[in-house]
Amino acid sequence: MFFADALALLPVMLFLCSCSRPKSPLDASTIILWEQEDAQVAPYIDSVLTAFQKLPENKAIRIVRTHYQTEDLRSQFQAASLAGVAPDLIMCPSDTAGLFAVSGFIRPVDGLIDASKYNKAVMQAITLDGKIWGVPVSNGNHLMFFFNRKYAKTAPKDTDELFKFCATDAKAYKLDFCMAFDMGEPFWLMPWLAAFGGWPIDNKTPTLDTPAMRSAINFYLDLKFTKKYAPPECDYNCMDSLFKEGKTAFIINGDWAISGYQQHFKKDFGLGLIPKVSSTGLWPAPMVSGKYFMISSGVKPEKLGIIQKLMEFYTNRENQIRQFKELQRLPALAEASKAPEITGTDVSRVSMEQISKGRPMSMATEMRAIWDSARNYLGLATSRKLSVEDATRKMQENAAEKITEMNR
Amino acid sequence: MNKEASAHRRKKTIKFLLVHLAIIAFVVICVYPLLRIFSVSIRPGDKLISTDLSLIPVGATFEAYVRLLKETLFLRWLWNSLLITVATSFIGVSLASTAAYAFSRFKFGGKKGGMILLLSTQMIPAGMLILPLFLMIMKLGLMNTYLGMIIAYSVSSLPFSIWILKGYYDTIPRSLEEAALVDGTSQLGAFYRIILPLSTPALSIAFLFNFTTAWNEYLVARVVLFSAKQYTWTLGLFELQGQYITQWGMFAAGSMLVTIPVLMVFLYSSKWLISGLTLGSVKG
Repeated sequence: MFFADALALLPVMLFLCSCSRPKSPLDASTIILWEQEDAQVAPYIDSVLTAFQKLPENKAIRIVRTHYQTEDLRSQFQAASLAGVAPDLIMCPSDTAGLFAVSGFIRPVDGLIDASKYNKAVMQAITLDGKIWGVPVSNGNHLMFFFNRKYAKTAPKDTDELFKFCATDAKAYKLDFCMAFDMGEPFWLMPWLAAFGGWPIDNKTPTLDTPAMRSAINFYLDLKFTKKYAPPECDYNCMDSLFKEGKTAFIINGDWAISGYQQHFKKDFGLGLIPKVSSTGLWPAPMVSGKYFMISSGVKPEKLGIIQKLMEFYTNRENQIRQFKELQRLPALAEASKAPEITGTDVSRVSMEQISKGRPMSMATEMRAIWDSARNYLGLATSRKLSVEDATRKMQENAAEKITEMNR
Repeated sequence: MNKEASAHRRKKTIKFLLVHLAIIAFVVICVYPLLRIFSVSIRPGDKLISTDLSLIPVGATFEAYVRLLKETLFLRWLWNSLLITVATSFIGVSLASTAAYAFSRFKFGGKKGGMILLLSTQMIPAGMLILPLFLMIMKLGLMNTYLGMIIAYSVSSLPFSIWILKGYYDTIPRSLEEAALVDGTSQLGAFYRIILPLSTPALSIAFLFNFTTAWNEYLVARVVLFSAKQYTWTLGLFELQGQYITQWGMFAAGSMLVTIPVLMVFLYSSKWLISGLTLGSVKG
């Protein structure tokens, strides 16, 4: 009889549910924002959005923030754009901006913002074919060198110093590994590639089958299998765990991890530059970009004014400084970069210095093909399933093939 | 005789041991992943992977649970899921029980075709239904609403429930209804007073199927819901996952907590499920 009696609950259920309808997201005062930020950033984003909505002139404005994982955001935004139901605004790194721009999914922001207010490098990373495709929220998104002060007092300046530590101190401390970083992800390979004199792209042409790439991969193999200073197989979560558990002295990770490591290690937290490669005398150059607001090309004209105000508010001096204090992310706004709250800390000083050694991430759509191809063949080479020479050759061929397909 | 008896006893003991060893092995296989998730949830420092294999890690803490409940909308997501799931289950079972009764007891044109059509909808992969569901819900103006989710879930689990219930009704002798009709009750009365109480095990199965399907569903929710306050727990947990950093402690804590309602539903309905196994075993 339970189910029979439960039928009586139906009207109540339906009534409850019908009460749940929120305001339609399609009206002109509602801004739909999609983001792919790390979880600890969400409260900060919400606090800024709430502050914006509390301004007297914005009382009627609603902002709906939706979180996606990075790849989901890309695919969902593409699908939604094609279906004509794209969000008004997205917040993500610049690596997909090229694809969105070429596909016509986002609109240029020239004329909507004063580009001269923002740092030059971070604007370069979002400029394609002379147009600016996004408004920078933060500067960096770059890799850095973290160390545990329990084992090392300072970061090694070059690889000779690093290897010396690995051969002596790391052994004395009985560490599982001297260092750990995500060797399967090409984003981590790029700084080393630069340190051996290479770069993955020249204008819009992939440059993967080069002596520099071979040297960089051989450097990986040496670390993994010959010297055994790094784990033979280790992804992001693995390297993060090893470092947090004190089983490795050094890690290469992004600026997004700073606040987490500060909380975890407290006084033992150490930050430095990725060590110079002694054999070449060159500094590793991490890719530098940032996080950006990008405006959907399908946005209603009447919403543009609100979006413009929102982006200006989000990246104003006060919020950029607060963003650094809470998330340790460097400001994109030039005026905020010079603020004493930013320049006065070791973290920002090291981070700025690392950025100065880095290079802007190319916004060219060809980068997508390079990432995919590099990821496949880097994995095969570093797991010794393919010779380094074959891997770099196929990497190049595969990237060129993908680019040809893209341009068809 | 003694030898035979002891040989029989030995055989019985060996069989008993083997069966229980197999059961223990299956229990370990089922429980171990849950224990690992629990271990991650009490591990300090948001570590998914650890070189330490102990189930209770060094520095174990329930901080992830506290943070999950205090810093995120987890309870809201749980409530959303519960509301959508319970409504879906009741609506699904109500519609399926009456539709299945019609298919089981009445003769009408297209009865066979209708059943085959219902069955064929089960052959369509869930992914293929996303776009039509999305378009229908959008046209109805039900995007980002509970009602939109309930409609989507109810209709997608209906065919399976109808087939289950129809099959069960077919096993109930018609003479029981006929006796009730002779006594003066209506067809609806016979269904309500005779068929429904006898069908409790099948209704429980249908309810549980609807419940677990809706409770764990992600794809449709991902398309229909887009504001954090409306999220179900499946979407909500992914709020904790970013480009590189995932709050694994809170993620695992959430995963542990969402098993509780399902576990409660299963425990509560187990008596019906067991009664279903013995139904009809006693004559008289």
